[in-house]
Amino acid sequence: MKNIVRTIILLFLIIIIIMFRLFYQNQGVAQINTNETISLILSNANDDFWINLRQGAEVAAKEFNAKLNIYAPKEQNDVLEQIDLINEEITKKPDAIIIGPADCDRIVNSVVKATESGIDVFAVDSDIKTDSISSYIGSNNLLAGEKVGEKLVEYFGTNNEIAVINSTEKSINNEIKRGTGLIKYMNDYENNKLFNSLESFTSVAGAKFVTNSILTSKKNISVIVALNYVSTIGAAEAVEELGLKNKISIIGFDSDSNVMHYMDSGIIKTVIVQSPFTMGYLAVKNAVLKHQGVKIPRYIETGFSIVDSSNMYSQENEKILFPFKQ
Amino acid sequence: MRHFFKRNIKKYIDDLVKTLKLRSIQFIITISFTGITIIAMSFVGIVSYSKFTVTSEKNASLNAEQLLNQINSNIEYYLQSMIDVSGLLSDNIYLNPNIMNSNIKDQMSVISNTRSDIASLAIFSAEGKLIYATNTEPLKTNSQVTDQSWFQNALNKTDNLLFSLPHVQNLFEKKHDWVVSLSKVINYTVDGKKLKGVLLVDMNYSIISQLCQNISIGEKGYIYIVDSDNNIIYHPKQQLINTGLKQEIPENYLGSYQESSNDGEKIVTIKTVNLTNWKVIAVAYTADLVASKKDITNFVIWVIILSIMLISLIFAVMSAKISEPIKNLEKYMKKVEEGDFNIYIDAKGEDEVVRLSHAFNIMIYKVRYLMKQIVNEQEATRKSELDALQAQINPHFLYNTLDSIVWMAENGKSEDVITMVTALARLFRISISRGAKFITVEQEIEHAKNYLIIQKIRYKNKFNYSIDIEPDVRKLNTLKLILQPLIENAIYHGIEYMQDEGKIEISASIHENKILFIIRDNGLGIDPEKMPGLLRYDGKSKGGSGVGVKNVHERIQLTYGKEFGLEIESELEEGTTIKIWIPIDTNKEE
Repeated sequence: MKNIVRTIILLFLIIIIIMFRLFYQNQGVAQINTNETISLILSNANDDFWINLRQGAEVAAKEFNAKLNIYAPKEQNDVLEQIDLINEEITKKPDAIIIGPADCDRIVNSVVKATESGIDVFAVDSDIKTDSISSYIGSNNLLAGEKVGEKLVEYFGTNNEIAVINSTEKSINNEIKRGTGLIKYMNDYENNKLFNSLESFTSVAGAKFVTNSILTSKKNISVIVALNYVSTIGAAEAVEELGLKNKISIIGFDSDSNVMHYMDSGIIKTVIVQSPFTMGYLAVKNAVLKHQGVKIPRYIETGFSIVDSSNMYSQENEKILFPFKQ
Repeated sequence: MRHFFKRNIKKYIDDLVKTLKLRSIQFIITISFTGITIIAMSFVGIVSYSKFTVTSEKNASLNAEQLLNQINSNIEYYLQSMIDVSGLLSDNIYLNPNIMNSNIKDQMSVISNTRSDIASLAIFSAEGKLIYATNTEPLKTNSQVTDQSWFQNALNKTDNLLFSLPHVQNLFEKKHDWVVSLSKVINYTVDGKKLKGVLLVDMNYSIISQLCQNISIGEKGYIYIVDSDNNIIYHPKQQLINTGLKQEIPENYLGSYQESSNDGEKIVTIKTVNLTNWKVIAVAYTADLVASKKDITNFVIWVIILSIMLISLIFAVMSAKISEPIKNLEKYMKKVEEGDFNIYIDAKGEDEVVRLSHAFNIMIYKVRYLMKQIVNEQEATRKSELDALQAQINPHFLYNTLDSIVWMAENGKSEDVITMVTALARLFRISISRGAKFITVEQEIEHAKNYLIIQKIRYKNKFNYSIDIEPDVRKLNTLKLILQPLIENAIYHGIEYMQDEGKIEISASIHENKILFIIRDNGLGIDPEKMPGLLRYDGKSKGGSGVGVKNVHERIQLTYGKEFGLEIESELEEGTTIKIWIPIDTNKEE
C-alpha cells in the first residue's frame, strides 16, 4: 500500500511539473501583453501637426498594446500649463512620458524630476535641453535649416534680401536649430542678406504683424523664410494682404489645409514638411521598447520632405501633405 | 545540502526500483491500467487534436476567403453603382440636345446631394474646360485639368471607364479631399454640335475605408487593396505605409500563398475585383491560428491529464479493493507462518477470494489435524521404545540369566560363566548405547549375537545359530533393538518346545536399495489364525514377549514410514521367516 501511495505521489509530482511548465509558458505570453502606460503631453491640441502626431501615437499604442493618455494645455503652447501637466503626470507614475515641448528650457526642471522618479521621458518635435531624457524623436532641424538655404539659392539665386520670421519669445529648440542651419549655409553666400524678425509673437496674428512691419521697412525683400508653422501662415497672410504675391516668395515649415491653400495660390513656394505621424508613432513604440529593456538611441530622426507648390500633387507628396483622416 | 538532496533522490529511486521489483497485484493493476489509459488517452488526444487543428485551420482560411469574397462583392457592388450613375448621366448627356440644359444640372445636383459618398460630379470638355460641376467652390485658376491623369486616361483608354488611384482632388478652391475618381468619355451636344468630353465622378475615399474597416481576420489579420501596379488603394495602416514606417508589397499572384516575415508566418490570399484591376488582399497571421492551436493543445493536454489523474485514482482504489482480501489472506498466512494455527478466516468479498479463504481454512484444519497426529505418533514411538527397553531389561530374563550363571558357577563351569557374563555386559551396553536411538548394523547384530550366546547357554545348546552379514551393511545405521525381540520370540515360541535341535539364521544384506534383515527359525511356526493380527497395532500392549513383533514393526514404521517394517512367513512345523526392511540411511544421528 505504501508503494502505491508513493507511486501515486510521484505521478502527481510529474503532473504538477507539467502543469507548472504550461503555466510558465502562458505567463511568458502574458508578459508580452502587459500594458505600458504612456502619457503624451502635447503643447497644442488643435494644429494639424499635433493632431497627426497624436494619430501616430495612437496607432502605435494600439499596435504595441500600450495604454496611452493624451494631454495638452488648454491655451495653445502654454508653457506653464504644460509644466503643471508634467508635474501632475509624475504623481500618476506612468511608465513613460512623451512631451512635445512648448519650451525647451523652462520645462527642464519638471522633466528632470520625472526622470529622477523613474519615468522615461521622450521628447518629440523639439529636443529638451537635458541629458536625463531617454530620447528625442524628431527631424534633423539643423539639416532642415541648411536645406532651406540650399533651396533659397537654388530658386532665387545669390543676390537677395531675405526676411527670416521666427518667434523668439520661447526657446523652441528646433526653430533655433533651423535658424542656425540656415545662417550656416548662407555664410557661403554673402550677397544674400538675412533680416531676422526682431519682435516676438506666439500667434498667427503676431506673425502677420511682424511680417507686415518688416516688409514695409525693407522694400527689397524678395524671399521670406518662416521657421515654423505659425510664422508661415502669418507671413502668407501678410503677403496676400499686401498684394505682394508675385513679388515675394515664402519658404515655410509644416503643412495643413491653410498652407495648402497658399501653396495652391502660389504665395508659399516651398514647405519643409516633417512627419508628425512618424514622430508620434516612433515615440510610443520606443517608449514601449525602452520599458521592455531595449536600448534606445538618444536621438531618433524622423526625416522631413521638401515640397514645392509645383509638385505638391505628385503621388508621394500628396500622401505627405494630406494625411488620411480615417 | 545538494549532496543530501542527491542522496535522498538516490534512496528514493532505489526504493522505487524495489517497489517495481516487488510488484504487488495492486501495483500491477494500477500501473498497467494507468499505462493503458495513458496510451488510450494520448491516442484520443492526438487524433482529436490533429482533427481539431486541421478543421480550425481550414475554418480560418475559409473564413478569410469568405471575408475576402464578401468585401470583394461589396466593393464590386459599390463600384457598379458608381458605374451605373456615370452610365445614367452619360446616357442622359448623350441624349440631351443641349448640355447647358438645366435638366442635366438638376440631375447631377440631385445625385450629388443625395449621395454623401460622391464628393463631386463634373463635366469637362475635351479641352479641359469645366462645363458643369456640382461643387459650389470655383475651379482653381491655375488648375491644369488636361494634365490630370484621370482626364488623360479617360480620353486615351479604350475601355472608356476608369477608376483612378486614391488621390487628392485639387481642382477646386480650398478643397483637398482624398477621392477615387471615375472618369468616362462622354459625347455631348452644345449649340447643335456633337463634342467629346469627360465625365468625372469623385467618390469619397473614406467610402472604401468604410467598406474594408472593421474587418478582422484573427487578432492581427487584415485586408488591403492595391491596383495593378501594387499602388496601395486601401490599407488599414495606410498612414504607416505613407510615412514609410511599414511596407506592403504583395506578390503578383492570385490565390493563396504562405509568407514569412519578421512579424511571423502569414497566409496571404489575393483576389481581383471585377470592373477594375484592383486586387483585394487578405493577410491572416498563422500566429493567430497557432494561438488557437495552442489553446487546443492546452485543452487537450488538460483533459488528458485530468482524466489520467482521475482514472489512475479510480484504478488505485479499485486495485486496492481487489487486493485487500488477498492481503488479508496474506496477513493470516503470516500468522500461520509464525506458528499460530488457531485461525479461521471469515472471508467476504469476491468469489475467488472466498473460495481461496475456504481452501485455506481447510488446509489449516488439516495441518492442525496432522500435527495432532504427529504428536500422537511421537508419543507412541516413545512408548514403544520404552516398551522395548523394558522388554530388554525384563526382570525374568535377568533373573533367569543370573540364575543360570549361579548354577554354572556352582558346577565349576567357569568358562561358561565368563562367556555369559561378558555377553550380558555387552548386551546391556549396546542396548543402552548412551541413549541413542540409532546404532550401526554391526552393533545391532552384535547385540543379537550376545543375546543368542546367553540364551544358547541357558537352553543348553538346544539350538544353533548362524549370522551372515554382508560387509557393506556393517557400517550402516539402523534403529536399535529390532532383532533381539524377534529372536526372543523365535526361541520362546518356536524352538523351546521343539524335539529336534533348533536352528536360527540371521542375515543382513542390501536388497532393492533397502537394508534387509532376515531371521529364520525352524521352529513350530505360527498358527495361521494368529497371523493377521500379528502386526496390527491396537494401541494396547498386553505385556509379555508376544508384544515384541508388534513393537518392532510399529517402531520401524513410525521411524521410517509405512513402506518399511516386518514381513512374516510361517508354516506350521516348518519354521518362521521374518524379514525386516529398513531404509539405507547413513545420516541418522547417533
